[in-house]
Parts: sequence; structure tokens; C-alpha cells
Amino acid sequence: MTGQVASRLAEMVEAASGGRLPAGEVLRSEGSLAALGLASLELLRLVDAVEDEFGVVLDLGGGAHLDSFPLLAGHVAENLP
Amino acid sequence: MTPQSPQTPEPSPTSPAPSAPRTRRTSPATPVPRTVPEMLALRAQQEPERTAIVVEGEGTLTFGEWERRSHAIAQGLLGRGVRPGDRVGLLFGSRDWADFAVAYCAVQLAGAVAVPLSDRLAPAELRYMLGHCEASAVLCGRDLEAPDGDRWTAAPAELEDAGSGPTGVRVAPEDLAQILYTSGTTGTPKGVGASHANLAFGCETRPNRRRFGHSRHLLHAFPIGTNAGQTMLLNALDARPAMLTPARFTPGRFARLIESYGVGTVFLVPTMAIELLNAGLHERHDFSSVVLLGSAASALPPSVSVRLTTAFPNATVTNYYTSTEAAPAQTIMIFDPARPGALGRPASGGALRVVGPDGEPLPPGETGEVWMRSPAPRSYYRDEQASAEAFRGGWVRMGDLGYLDADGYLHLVDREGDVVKSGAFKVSTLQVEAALYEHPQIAEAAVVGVPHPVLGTAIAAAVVPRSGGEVSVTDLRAFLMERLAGHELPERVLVVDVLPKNQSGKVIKRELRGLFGAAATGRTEGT
Repeated sequence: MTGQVASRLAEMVEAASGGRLPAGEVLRSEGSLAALGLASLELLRLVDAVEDEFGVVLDLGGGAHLDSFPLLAGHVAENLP
Repeated sequence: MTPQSPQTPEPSPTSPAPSAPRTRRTSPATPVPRTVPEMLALRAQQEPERTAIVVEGEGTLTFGEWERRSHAIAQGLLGRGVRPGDRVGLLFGSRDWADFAVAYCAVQLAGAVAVPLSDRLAPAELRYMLGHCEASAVLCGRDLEAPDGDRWTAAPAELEDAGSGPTGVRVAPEDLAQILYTSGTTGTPKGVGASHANLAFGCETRPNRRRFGHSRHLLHAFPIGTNAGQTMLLNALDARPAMLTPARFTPGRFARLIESYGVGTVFLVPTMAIELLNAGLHERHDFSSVVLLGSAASALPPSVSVRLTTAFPNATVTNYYTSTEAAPAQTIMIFDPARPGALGRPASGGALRVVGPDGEPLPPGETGEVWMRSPAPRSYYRDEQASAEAFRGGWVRMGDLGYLDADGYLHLVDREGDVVKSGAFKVSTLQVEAALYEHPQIAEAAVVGVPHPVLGTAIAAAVVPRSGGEVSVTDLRAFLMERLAGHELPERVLVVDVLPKNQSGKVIKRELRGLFGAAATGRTEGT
């Protein structure tokens, strides 16, 4: 399940970045999304997209789930309604 | 705070006009508050049960609670040794807007100076600001910690048991009330000091004349620590509608709030407006309740204004132009297709002029520096040199180039200097460069603003590695995150062998911007 979610999430990161961050690169990344280059505005887009598609509310203010892409994918997979 | 669910839709507007310019009352019938604590006291007396602030998902604050809790915390501050004139940092995130509002008034009731600080600031920035103003204490919202320093910290709740009722401290209109840090032209943040007279200027106290009287809720998502955010706090104190804000902003959540509360007044920045439109949120949510859509922080591009008038079919789309230094002076412009780029004429007791290099006003149509004058001027705190540069004889240099048309409407042409406007924020490119230069592998760095479809301007950095060194763009961003706020992080980073410079060795920023427009010019493009 996490693998499928991760693949889809990586596509969503690519879309949120306007195509600047290729999904393949996102999938391989281990650092934070901000360090990868996802701007703060693009992160908001991603949060809305995740909420719309997965029904998972991401807390922008805290929690480790935004510290890296693998953590984000794991968090979304675990919290699927 | 008590939980609250969305209320019934807003009443129909009796007047679609936005706020009239704040004007001082002359009738002796209703007292005119001259300080922020007086504003709170008057409103709490008039409407103690009325909701002042709603933080979606967190709860509400009434005027009565606001005053009672502020008094209690003020007692706590005095009990811990805070004295009139002391600076007290207020480090809060948006979900704690209500606690922030209480702490803000508490600090002022103790006669001290409130220093609002955003939770988005990097640790190094917070350290600088708290050190610069020599804050004696910091009050923090949930899960936030102030950097170590020679001061104590506490959560507001820790101070609320110290006592109740008025403190007995006298607060005068000319007393310093607030310091807001903003990007300065020299690369370090500037503390903009405002007196109570400045903040309370134009406060409307007559119940039937309160601003935004057509609305039950005023929605915004401006961060704490910004001038726009502080303006919203003052609106919460003296305007008719309750101030509504999401605990954590996203465009989707913002759109849902408009619909579920039937919000009448919305304040946003152009970046947010463009995001709402591009995401098609107006097609999925009912925005028909909105009668005033105000845009602050930077000018709405005319094409966006046109789209907004369609997306918000009943709203008057209005631009507000001011700055942290110039407030409450501002220009107000109801979008007029006949003057799509105009920013309006001076309001709120302010004055406006466009001047040439000699400081003399220019005739209509000629481009020069935009200056504004506030009826109760602000100044830079503990920075006489910067004050002398930015404030001249009561006039504030806005850092923008523009012209006045024949009818006195302001039009902006460009931004001067080393400060760029990215989204809602002013970013000092010098400050970003300074942070880049701290990296051990970077020999040279230069930062510019480049056009961005949503932000208006995005931050772009070109770096030259040290001889034989390699720079990973990902590592570089991680490095910068310790030193810069999120909105200051360069969205684009180019690793190059040399920077374009003129004969005297100064980086030619125009050519540098060109590098970001050309593909594969540099060695590495990190995005």
C-alpha cells in the first residue's frame, strides 16, 4: 500500500511544483521536501491535493511527517480513511 | 476559548463599499480611544459577549474574555518583573491567534512593548530580533520555543493566575506600543516601532459606524508578525465582524471557510487570490456571500482583479497599498476597469507624493520615488541611520517607483533597491546572500527576484563554489533553512562558474536575472 501511495504522492509533488520536481527524483529523495526545492506555496498545494484525494489532513505546523518524502508517504498510507 | 461551528450566512450588505478612510471622531458623545488598551476596554464594555476572534477548529474569543485574560496576564507579567517600556516577544503560530491577541494586549496593559514574531522565522532570525530589541521576556504559543538568551519565556496560560483586573499602569498615546520586524535595505531586519497613537489612529467607536458593518465575519490568513496581520488584529478590536482565520492556511481550507461561514469580508494577498483562482476553488465553493474582497501587501495584477470580480460575483474588489513603515497611511482603490493598474488615492489620514531625486514632488505622469506620510509616524527602533534613510520629514520612502495620473491615482512602475516582494513578504536579497555566504563551500553568491506566475516574484540565487568544491543544492537549502524563513528560501538555485559583474566588480543583477531565463546556462540548476 505504501508503495502505491508513494508513487501517486510523488506525482502529486511533481504536479504541485508545476513539473519542476520530477516524480522519479521525488521518490528517490530522503531529505525534506523543502530541501528538495518544494516552495512553501507548492507545499500548500500538495496539502490540499492530499486532502482532496486521500482524505488525509496534513498538519503543516508540526509532526515529523513532512520532514522527508518517505515519512510523508508512510504517514498518508497509515492514515487513509 | 469555546468551540464554535459556522454560523448562519451573513446579512445582506447595506453598503458594498469597503472601509471608509478611518477618520477621527470629534463628537464628545463616544470616547475616542487613544491607546490599544483603551480600544479593548471600550469594546469589552460595549459588547462583552460578542465574538471577537474565531480560529477555525480551535475556538472563539469574546471581547469580555479578551479583556479579562489580558488583565490577568498583564498582572503576571508585572509579577515577573516586566516594567513599562520593556520589550516582550510574542512568538505564536496562526492556530494560536486568540492567545496571541490576548498576550498582545496584556503586554501593552503592563505598559510594555509588544514584539509580534512569526513561527515561520528561522532560529537565527528570531535570535537577531530578540537580541536587537533586548526583549526581557518571550511569550510562546503551543509547541514553540524561543531561542536561548538572557530572558525568560512562558506560555500565556502560565501567567493567568497571577491576578485580575486593571494593573494601574498608565499607558500614554505617545508610548511605544509595538515593534514589527521587516526586511530592510541593508540586509538585516529592521524593527518598525509604532506608538499607541499610531495604532489607535482613526479607531471608529460608534456602534452603528463600525467598519465592515455589512459582514458578520472577516476572514484572513495573514501571519502573526506581519503588518497585515497586525492590521487584522486592530480590525478585530474595532470593526463590526468577528475576525475569522484558519488554524493552518491552505487555499482549499480558506475556500471552505468562505462557504461554510458565509463570510462577508475577505482579506488576502495577490498570491493567495491567484492560487484560489488557478485551483478552480471558486467553481467548487460558493463565494457569493463575499461583499468585500480586499487585497493587501502588494498590488493585484489587473488581470487577476478581473478574474476575481467573476469568481466573487457580489464582491467589491479593493486594493490596499501601504507598508509596515507607512501604516496606517494607505491608498485604497476599488478595482476600476477604466484604471486597471491604479492603486488609488491616499486614505486613512495619510498623504502621498511622487518625488524626483531632489525630493521635490513631480508633476503627474512622471515616474519617481513613492513617498507616503502617516498621520502618526512610525520609525525604526534603535536604528537612526536607517530611520534617516527611510523616514524624511515625516515622509516614508516606500521603496517603489511610480507615478500619479492626472486625477491623483497612484500607479506603480517598479521596485527599487535590494528588497523584492515575493507573495506577501518583502525579502531582502542581501539577507539571503548573507546566509549563502555563511556556507563553507560557497565562494560567491548573488540573489535576485525573478518573475513568478503566482508569487509575482520568486527568489533566485546564483552561487559560485569554492575552488575544487562541490555544492549540492539540496544540502544548500537544508543549510539555509536554519538561517532563513520559508519565504526567503531561494526557489531557484543556479551553480555557476562566475557571476556577471561590471568593471567595478559589482554584480549586474539585470544580467543575473537573464541567467534564470535562459536554459542550461549554468552548470547545475537546482529547483
